Amino acid sequence: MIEKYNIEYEKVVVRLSDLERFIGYSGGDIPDLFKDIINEILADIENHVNPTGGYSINEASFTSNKNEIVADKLIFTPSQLITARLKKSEKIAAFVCTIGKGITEWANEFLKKGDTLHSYICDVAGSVLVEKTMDIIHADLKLKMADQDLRITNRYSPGYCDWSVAEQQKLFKLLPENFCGITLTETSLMNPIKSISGFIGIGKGVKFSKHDCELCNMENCVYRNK
Amino acid sequence: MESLLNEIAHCVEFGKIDLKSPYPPDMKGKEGAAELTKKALDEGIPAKDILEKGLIVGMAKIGIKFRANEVFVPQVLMSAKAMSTAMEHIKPLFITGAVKAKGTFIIGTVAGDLHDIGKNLVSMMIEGNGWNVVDLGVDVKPEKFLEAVKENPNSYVGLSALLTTTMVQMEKIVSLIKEDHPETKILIGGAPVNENFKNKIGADFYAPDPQGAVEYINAGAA
Repeated sequence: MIEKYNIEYEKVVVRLSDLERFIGYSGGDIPDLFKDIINEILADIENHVNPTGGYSINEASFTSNKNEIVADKLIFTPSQLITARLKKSEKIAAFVCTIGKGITEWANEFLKKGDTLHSYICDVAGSVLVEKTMDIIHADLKLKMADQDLRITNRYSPGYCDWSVAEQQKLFKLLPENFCGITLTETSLMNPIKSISGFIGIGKGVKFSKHDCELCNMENCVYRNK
Repeated sequence: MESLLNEIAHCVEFGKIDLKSPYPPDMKGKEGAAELTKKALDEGIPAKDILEKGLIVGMAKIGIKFRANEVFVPQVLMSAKAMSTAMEHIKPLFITGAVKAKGTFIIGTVAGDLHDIGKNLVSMMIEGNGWNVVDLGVDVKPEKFLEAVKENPNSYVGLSALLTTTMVQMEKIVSLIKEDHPETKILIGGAPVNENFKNKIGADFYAPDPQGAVEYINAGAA
């Protein structure tokens, strides 16, 4: 089963408060100049993004040692940390999500003019937006699965929690070619840059953990729940 | 002379680029790092002193504040901009030999990783401390690092990664460089790495923050 979503920007609007938190100014103490630049970028960001994403749902099984996941005859070897979270899954949703290449091109335009601050804000806004887009898709998947009395897990991505980024090559085989316009580089990175991918476990016995970041040792990770 | 150099350091520390720059608000309408550097040169203050006792001092102060989470990336970017704008007046003197770079620092985000914010911050901080920086970009293969080391003898190398799985690339790069150039000092940094990992792969230094990298290579150049 394949689902694809084109998300309207109004549903994933990035707000000043989203970026303040991401950058580090959580106490509302952000200098006015930075606030103005963020607002300037956010006022125009809609014209530089195309939020889209989707997933395929695949029957899942595990090898006897529970460290490998089998989906559509492909064997995946995420870290024990991830397989422990997915092990009760009956199905696996392989997802991708992107906001397109426009935001990176916009950030690069600023960079070419020597404007590192605008470029940085664009980059951060893009990171926040792609996650918010996937949040919508994730939430919709949850509703669809709830109709079948199934639960879903958090999302887990190659490159994080010790899951090799090289496994993207197999993950993409679970999706139609060029799905959502995302392609992989020789080193298994996604193009457009502001894209994310991964697995979501589905099953009666799986659960969503609100504070999964506690399990990861990347204390300085920008995505870490504060 | 000392007062002018202190003012330059202050401008860099607080990201006051030039007269027309509105940031920081309490310095609006005042001269910035660019004008003060030009003034210092016109007054005959040696470029080396402007760099070492003014600009670099300001960058070091912002680096220490960033380490302590007292400021965040945007403020560091403003400081780096103030520094680089002032350097436009100093750079021509590099050609004449009046000012010399402390050395060369090669930096890149390792293959399989596109994250560049950390790398760029380190790059700016090190350049702002008087080093020539060769930025190889992101998703850099081991061979490219080796090539850069061959082209820039006696350079330092900085490896950056954010993805846990690209840490293995760091090991390959360290091994490849050390095989041909064992004297090359290699620094690693990024959210997933630490001191133990540095020891495991045979790198020379783990920099937990940009200022740490600056202090390490400055100590080596002294």
